[in-house]
Amino acid sequence: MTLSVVELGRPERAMMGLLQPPDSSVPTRQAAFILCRPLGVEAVRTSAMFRALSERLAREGCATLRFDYHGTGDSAGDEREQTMAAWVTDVLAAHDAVCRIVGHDNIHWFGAGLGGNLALKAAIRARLSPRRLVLWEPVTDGGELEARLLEGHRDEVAFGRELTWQEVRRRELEPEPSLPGWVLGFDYGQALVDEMRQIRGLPLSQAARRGIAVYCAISDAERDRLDVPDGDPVMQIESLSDASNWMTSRVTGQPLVPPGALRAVVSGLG
Amino acid sequence: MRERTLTFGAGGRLVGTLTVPDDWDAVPQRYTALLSNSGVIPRVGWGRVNVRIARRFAALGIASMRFDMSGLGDSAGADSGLSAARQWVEDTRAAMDAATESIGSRRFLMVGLCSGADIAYLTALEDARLEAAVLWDLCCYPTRKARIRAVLRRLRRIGFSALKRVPGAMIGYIRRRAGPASSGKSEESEGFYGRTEMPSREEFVPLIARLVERRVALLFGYSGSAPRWFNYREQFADMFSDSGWLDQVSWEYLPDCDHLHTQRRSQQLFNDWVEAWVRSHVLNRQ
Repeated sequence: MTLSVVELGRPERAMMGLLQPPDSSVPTRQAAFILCRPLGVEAVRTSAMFRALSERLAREGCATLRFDYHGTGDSAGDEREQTMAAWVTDVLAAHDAVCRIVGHDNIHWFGAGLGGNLALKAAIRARLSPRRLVLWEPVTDGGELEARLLEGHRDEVAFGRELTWQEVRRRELEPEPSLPGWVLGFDYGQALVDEMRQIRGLPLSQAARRGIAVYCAISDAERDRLDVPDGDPVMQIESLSDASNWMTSRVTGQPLVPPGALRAVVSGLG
Repeated sequence: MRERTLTFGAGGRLVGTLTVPDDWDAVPQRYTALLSNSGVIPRVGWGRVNVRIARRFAALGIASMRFDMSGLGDSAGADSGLSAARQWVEDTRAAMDAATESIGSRRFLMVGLCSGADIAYLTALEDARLEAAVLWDLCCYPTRKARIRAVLRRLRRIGFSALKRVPGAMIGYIRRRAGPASSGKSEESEGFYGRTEMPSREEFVPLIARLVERRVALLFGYSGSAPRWFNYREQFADMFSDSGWLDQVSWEYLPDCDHLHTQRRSQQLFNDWVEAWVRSHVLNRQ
């Protein structure tokens, strides 16, 4: 299962990608995956999940690309200058690269957290659509995301001082976090924050109209925010009773990969 | 500066990213920094701290290799049967081999954060190519003064009304101290940043002595994130006053830094501190 490094994107939006080939001990499928990471601290916390998904898919005979959007992770660039719109073009660049590498267009996408939103936006725009989208806990409300980021930051900073956030503030040890700004180790610029704040619901029906099969796992509480046509045969919505928390450095006893996520990616292979 | 991700190690199962200064071939000392995982955090580091260090080092003429050890980040797990620590030392040596093969690196320093610090000093014990190490929140052995300060801090937090609980706590403490001898491991050191295994002070001191004897430059740093364990500037000197090597290593307590560098200010303080030490203690080495 030798990984290979793939250089993605235009020179001015260079990205680092890793292609995991199918396991040589199993029959190769005519299907490949692109994994779209969430952002910032959530990308850090889900790195093992993305590796595990790649390895699992390799054992299913699929090639898998995981990559860092420009300005994030190991890719070149400054995160503060990034936007969701630009990251959507990164997903499309990754898709084109995988089509070229594997020589077919039976490409499935998996996106977690904000990566799910990027994947959905890119799928709607793609010249050559992905065959299937698996969206794991995408963001359905930008305001809630902002609140969770700020709360996660307060919690992490307070934990790092063995104090409560109220004590941190009373002693004036750290400033109140705000967006745009540095939150949980990620420098959010104004343009990105403006885009995040505009997230309301998920335009799943636009993907369905393009014939893209969609699987979306989302918490019970968010389900009514989805734009889901009744009885759509290509749309599968999974309700999650427990939302993942990828905004903390503490290992919280969550499994490395939500069991349903593995099932979701593999089941779509037919 | 140019950056290139590569696979290396047996079967190409390890992943690392080289950051190389533009004038690398003209740099006389040609140090390469190793940056790696801290706990289960991938090679980019929490808040991309390793990416920022790598790019800052490049401006100093230092190349760097940030890499994921076996089973962490992008690197596949190993089937060698070695313990995790043993495997990660081997991985670190493989990262040095890969940097040598790719860009001709010969001399190395390592910035080890938390569990990465454990791997840094363990690797230096085995491999003379590693000439310097920054050891962030490595082993900690609370002194009497540190324990008293920790208790006072706790009292301040919970209020002095809790003093009525002190007699009971003291009896518990005395009972624990008078109980059967431990296995030689420091009771306090267990659990320092989640470590399940840590050498006792008596085991740790001679290991560092071996590195000092070999002239490995060492910088110990402690964050403000574990005030129960480390809580005053001179604690390091008090912990190792009779070690024989205290004046041959550098140390600092950075209470405004958090363990992971979640805050921008923490990253800046840490990076400034590392850079100053590298300039004064590494780049001028013969």
